Amino acid sequence: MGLLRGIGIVVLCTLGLTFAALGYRHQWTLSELPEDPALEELSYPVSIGDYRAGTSESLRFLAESWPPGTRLLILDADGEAVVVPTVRRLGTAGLILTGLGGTVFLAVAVGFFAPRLHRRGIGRFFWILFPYGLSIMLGGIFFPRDGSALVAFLGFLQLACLAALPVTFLRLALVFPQRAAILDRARWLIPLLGVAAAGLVAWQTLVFSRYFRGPDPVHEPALGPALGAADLFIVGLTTIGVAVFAVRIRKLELTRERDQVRWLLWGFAIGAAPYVFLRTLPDLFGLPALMPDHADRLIELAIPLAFIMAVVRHQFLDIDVIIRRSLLYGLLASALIGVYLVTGIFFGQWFGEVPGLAPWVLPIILGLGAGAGFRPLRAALGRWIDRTFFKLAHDHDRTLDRLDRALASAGDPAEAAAVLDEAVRGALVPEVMAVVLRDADDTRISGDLASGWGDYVLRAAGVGHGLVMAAPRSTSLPELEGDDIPLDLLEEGFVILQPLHGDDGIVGVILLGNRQTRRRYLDQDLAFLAAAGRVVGRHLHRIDLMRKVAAETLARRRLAELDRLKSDFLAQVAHDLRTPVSGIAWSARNLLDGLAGDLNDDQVRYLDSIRSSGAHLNRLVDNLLEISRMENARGRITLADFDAPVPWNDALGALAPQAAAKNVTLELEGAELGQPVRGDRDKMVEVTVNLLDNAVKYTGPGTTVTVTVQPPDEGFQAVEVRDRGPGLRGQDPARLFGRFAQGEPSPHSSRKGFGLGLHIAATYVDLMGGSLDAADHPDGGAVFTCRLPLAASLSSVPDQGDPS
Amino acid sequence: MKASLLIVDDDPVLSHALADRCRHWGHEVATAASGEEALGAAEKQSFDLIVLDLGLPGLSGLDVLERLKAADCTADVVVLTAHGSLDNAVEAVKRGAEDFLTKPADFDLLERAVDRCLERRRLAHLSAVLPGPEGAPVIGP
Repeated sequence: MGLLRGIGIVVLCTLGLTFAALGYRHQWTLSELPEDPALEELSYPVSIGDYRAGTSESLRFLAESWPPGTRLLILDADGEAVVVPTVRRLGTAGLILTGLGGTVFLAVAVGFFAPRLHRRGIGRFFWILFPYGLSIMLGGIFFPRDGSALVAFLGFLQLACLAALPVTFLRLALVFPQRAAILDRARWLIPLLGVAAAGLVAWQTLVFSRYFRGPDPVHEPALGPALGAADLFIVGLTTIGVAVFAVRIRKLELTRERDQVRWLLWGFAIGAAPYVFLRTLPDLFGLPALMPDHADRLIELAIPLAFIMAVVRHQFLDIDVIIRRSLLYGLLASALIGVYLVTGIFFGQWFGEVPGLAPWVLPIILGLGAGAGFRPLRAALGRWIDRTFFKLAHDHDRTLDRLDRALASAGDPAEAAAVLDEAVRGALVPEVMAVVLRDADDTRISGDLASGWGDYVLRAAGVGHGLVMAAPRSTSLPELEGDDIPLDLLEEGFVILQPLHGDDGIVGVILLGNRQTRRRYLDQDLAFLAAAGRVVGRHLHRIDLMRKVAAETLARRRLAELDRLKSDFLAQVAHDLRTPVSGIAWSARNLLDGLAGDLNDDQVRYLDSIRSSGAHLNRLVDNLLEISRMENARGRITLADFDAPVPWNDALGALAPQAAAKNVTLELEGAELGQPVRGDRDKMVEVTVNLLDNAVKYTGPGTTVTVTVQPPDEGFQAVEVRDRGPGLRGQDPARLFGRFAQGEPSPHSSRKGFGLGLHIAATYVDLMGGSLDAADHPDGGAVFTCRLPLAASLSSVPDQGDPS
Repeated sequence: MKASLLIVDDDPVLSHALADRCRHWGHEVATAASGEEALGAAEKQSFDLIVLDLGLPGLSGLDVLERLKAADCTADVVVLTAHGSLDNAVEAVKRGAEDFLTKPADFDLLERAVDRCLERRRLAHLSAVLPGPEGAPVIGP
């Protein structure tokens, strides 16, 4: 579908351009009667040979049928004869202006709009400019006296173009930039106008062909109304179109759309209104034209310009590409017209005389040839345009592409600097050049600058607020130049400093100099340099990020490795300690149980101490193991419901020998208040044993350690452990629960733990969603409060007593 | 109930203390200080119960366990180790250990484990010896 459409457009454009060229050639031989006072005195009807004319208007029509320079013998009704030579209707100026105007219209339509017909909203511009340009190139061609089919067709084509123009213009006014509501209410409007235009064309064709087949006053009355109707059609629809534009422009909310319509309005106001209102309108009432001949051709050029601006304001086209492509297609269209003109003018006659070759064969052959040659011609022209008009920008763009690709594989700043150095040297050919890059805390210099300059250059570049710095008379842009390049850098030959921007300010500088040749850098060169700076800055940022990520990954891996080693070490130590601990515990137990004979009381007491110390040692080892496992403890917590006092009872049992050895009484109060709580039953034993162990450790001999179960409160159940020791002594509870913290050494105990117990307890309680706090008791000693959330079945209905 | 026990531990202190304790409970006790020695002893004599350490020089406890089971040794094995991790316990039970205790296990706990094993052996022996369509009714609950 797209291909068919493309072929259709190419064929249409080729044929249109061919006909335009043929029509334009024909305009060279158009003649008219000069302004001769003798003609005014004629009494009508007059006759020229066999032909008769009833009015001066039809006489002029008639006279156009003879070539310029023909001396016409005109006989009037009174029998008086006047000899008037016909003159060329378009003088040299007229021909040039007409050719120029028509060519610009067609070149814009074919060159600018035809290639973009697949874009929405472009067709409407094409369908105005194309027939407009064609009608200019075919101007003034009517049906020939000699009955030439080609000329008759061209005349018909001109009438058709002229009739179609006001319809397409009014339609544009109604659909641009948005479809007016009236088009939906009156769908028949545009088709109806199309039918009217077609009717007008048919009417004019009929009248003209009949008139020129045998000009006679009999057919004359029909001429006037047909021409008048056509003029009225043009004037009327154009007026309405301008009015519609003017009304709609106020309803547009988007500035961009208002801009676009304004361009169109101005284009038509300047380009077409004078033709319509100063020439056609007076003509309609038989008045002389109010503007000089052919002036409209110049003025009309405002229309294609306005159309281009309206499209460019759409901002969906890259301006640079627009300029290149338009130049390309414009040149192509002009070249085609030129080819047709030359062929038509110089060989047309010859072609016409070839026996058996009808005149219409020529346009077809030319069209086919142009179609076949279009693509290679376009490619060759495109290359030529890029090389000729956009050479520097073109080369620089390619260098930038290559630079970007080369930098993508650069792994460190030194490599990047080398790549940049090579690219800039290749593109700008400086006599001296250097690249300074900041690399971590150091600077890296490549090129024609000694190391040691790095920081100096970076500081110097910072003075220019990150903009390029250029010495006087070093560029084609004096407004960029200044005196801010330090003298010693100028003495080294550098005249341009282009900073490279990274994420955190200036990360480098490109220095350039042309000391000997004093060649100035063009704006394209500077644009290239700035773009290269941006590209390098981006890649330096990427390299920096890559390095940081790599370093961080390595550091994290090392940390993880160290952590693993530490855990492994702790576990190994703990495991190894268990063997001697077992030896102590078992041997003492064997002795105590009398396996080695009876013991006296002192021996039993000492053995008890050994056993108790062994048990304590074992708990410390357990804690060490717990710490080494703690890293991934979160995953090991298994929550279940259990009665709050249960783990405390276990702990009281486990600590009983130790407490007894120290003559400490262990109490549990308020066990009846205990509710089901949610936590890890096994870990809770660790918690309670550690808390009680801590309490027994710090409380004085002969005192009591009290475990009190508190009533549930706000979804939590608290259990307090109170000792009669020295208290916290102003220590921060948070620090107390830290990994290797330990309270002040107890005066009642010479034992020292690793300080791990409280840390383990706090960590586990925290993982279970509870909390562990420590405070001084008002009556002395410390109170540790362990809170655990109540079991789900309880906490989901807090404080909701049954009203019955 | 008297039974024959083999205690496998490379630490002579532990081995000695444990052996004394088991004799105190009334069992016949032999000791082995390495895996190879334990396998040799098990080959020569049939034990009711083997108390096996995991961290042995040479053959590891788990290897010994596997070889014992492969050699159709009828003795039950109770693992008693200082390396009491969950992974080790699972691995030991997979390879046929009856129980898994960590050092320093309380003697009371150890005694219960030993008695449990011996009781199970006794019942299994009964059910194998006594005739009957089903073993269960004869033994009772």
